[in-house]
Amino acid sequence: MRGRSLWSARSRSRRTSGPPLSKAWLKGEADADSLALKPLEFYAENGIDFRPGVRAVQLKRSDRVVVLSDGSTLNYDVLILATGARAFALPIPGADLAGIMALRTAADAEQLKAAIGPGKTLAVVGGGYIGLEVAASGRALGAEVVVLEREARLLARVACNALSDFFRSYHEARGVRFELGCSVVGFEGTDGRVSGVKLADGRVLPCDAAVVGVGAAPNDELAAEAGLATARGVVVDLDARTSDPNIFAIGDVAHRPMPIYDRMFRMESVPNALEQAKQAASAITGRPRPAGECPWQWSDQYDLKLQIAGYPFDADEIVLRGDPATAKFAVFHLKGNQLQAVEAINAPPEFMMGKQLILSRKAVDKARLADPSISMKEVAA
Amino acid sequence: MAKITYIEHDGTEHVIDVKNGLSVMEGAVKNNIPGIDADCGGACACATCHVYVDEAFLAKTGTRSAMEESMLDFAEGVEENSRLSCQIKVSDDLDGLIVRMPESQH
Repeated sequence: MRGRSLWSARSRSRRTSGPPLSKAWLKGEADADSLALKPLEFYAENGIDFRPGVRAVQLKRSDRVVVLSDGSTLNYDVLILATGARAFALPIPGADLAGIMALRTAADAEQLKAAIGPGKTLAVVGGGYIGLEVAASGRALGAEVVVLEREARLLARVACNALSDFFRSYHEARGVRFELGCSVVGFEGTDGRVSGVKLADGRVLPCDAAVVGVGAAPNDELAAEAGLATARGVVVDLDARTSDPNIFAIGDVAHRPMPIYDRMFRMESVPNALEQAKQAASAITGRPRPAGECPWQWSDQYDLKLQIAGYPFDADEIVLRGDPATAKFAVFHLKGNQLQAVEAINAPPEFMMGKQLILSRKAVDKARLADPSISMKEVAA
Repeated sequence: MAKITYIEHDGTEHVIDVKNGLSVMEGAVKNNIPGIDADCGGACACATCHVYVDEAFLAKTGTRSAMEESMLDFAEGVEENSRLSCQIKVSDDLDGLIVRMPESQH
């Protein structure tokens, strides 16, 4: 199928291939061009009418028309919603001061890099993966870093105790300070710029910049207003198709089925966006649906590579393989004798074989899984 | 800047000028060359940018890191000259580099 495609961008800069926090970028070795997903010429050469800075403001489904923010309209045969998610802002006093940012765009990352360095203090609100990546980046830029987390441990919603403890000590050993179980009630400022974070216990922690990483909400308003089915995101099927057969939704905005877990949910990851792009493209061009998938993601902090496959839904047992003290280990989450998820630290074989086992639903021998002297290939055989 | 020749598994050649500092993977992805998936965008986390480096350039492209070695172990059809192209940084030294792609990245 050969058609005209149009891509209208909501964010100011071109999409990058993930949060631009790579070491190369921190050291100033990667410029905006190298972070862009594709060079601008790519779009013209491939018949893609790329319109940065234009937002879609309304869908008129009965006429198959999109109304744009510049007042113009577009007709479509097939429409793909890839509107993403936006960071939750904290509904507290001072949240709009300069120097407080979410880290979702290249512009945020540039602002952060400009605001901190040696002698400066960075406050990170939220001890999830984003918060920890930012903390590591802050230390790499030479800043003092304090992470504020509402729960009693890091990664409370997503990781088990062993992994939480590991990340805490790894970061502490590299100079990051944690305030756990604390409630942020406001930001203080000087001349319109953030100067401190106020806690419920009355303390004010001084800072020169603050990053808020407390989760994100799907940008599904356009879809909801047009009457498409939504539920914590735009509801789609295995072809990434919404309740309107001519409209697809992919990436962070989609609430999608995941057959291996027999449920639907919304994910925020690069592999998820790629997978759904393949699903939609296959359906639109009449090709077979992509093969079954195991969702996965990764996080880089310092010299640690964390690779995660699956989600620990309904898991009833945790198997630890390797010693966290060596910074090379994996945490397996099992439901009965089936693997649901694995978190692998500097352990690619555990990640790669784990991903295959999650997808195959094959029974796993827990004793062998826990024994690092037996290779993962043998465990999975 | 280096001129790099990417050869797909079916023999189709693509000759591209790639800027210094980019990876061999990025040179392919930004120019829409099929055969290098690079699902993780260059984090050495997925092993889907596997290439075979032309023998003449093996020394110049350097050696595999432990992480790369470990990820390559799970790629299909790995040979002595296999590399993850996200781990090869482009410089003037690599002008004329030829890389060939495997049949599949998965």
